[in-house]
Amino acid sequence: MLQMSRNVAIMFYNFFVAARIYLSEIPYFRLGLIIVTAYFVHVLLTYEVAEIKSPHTKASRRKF
Amino acid sequence: MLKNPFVSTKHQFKMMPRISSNNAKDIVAKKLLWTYIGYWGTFFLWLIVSHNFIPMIFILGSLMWCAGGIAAMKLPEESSRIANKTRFYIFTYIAGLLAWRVVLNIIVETPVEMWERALMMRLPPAFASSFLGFITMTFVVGIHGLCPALKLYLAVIYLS
Repeated sequence: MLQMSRNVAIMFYNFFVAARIYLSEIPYFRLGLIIVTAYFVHVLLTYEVAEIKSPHTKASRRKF
Repeated sequence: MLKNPFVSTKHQFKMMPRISSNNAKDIVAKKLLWTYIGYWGTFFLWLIVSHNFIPMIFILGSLMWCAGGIAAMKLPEESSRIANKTRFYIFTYIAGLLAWRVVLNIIVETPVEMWERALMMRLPPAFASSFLGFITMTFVVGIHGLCPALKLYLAVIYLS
């Protein structure tokens, strides 16, 4: 249990280390593209969530 | 008379969901959880997979996400269909990239004699290289074709 929790903690730390290395390696234009893409993913996700939260008021039913 | 842009009347017409039973709430929560996992999971999988290929592949995938997002903003009545389709296309793209690597590895490591034995027919010695070229060209066509395919789909929705 102790070993497992230690491994999980190391994995958690390594996630940030890997993210830092990944972000320091990639060029700025690619970072910008990732941010823009993430924004559009968020937009798509928002529409999907709105659809699930209010199925009777969804825009796809309101077009008639 | 001009409308005051700082006074919004949108909230007066907003219809809130009325989910009364706990069972329905559980189903909605489960759906929401899987939606969040699906979208961000596909996005991060896309980042990881495209990082291992040439930058153009990442740019094409980003264009697909952006095209889907813009189309969903322009066509709110079709937004959920567009969102689903965009995610499906990106997931297909990821699966295709990974499958191509696996298939290429199998083809490279298999000698012509093995292919002859497997297919039970005589094959020319150049079979392996020509088959490799065929698979590569298929991959190239697919990689360049999926991005315009999604855009074509979105254009058809927009025009119809």
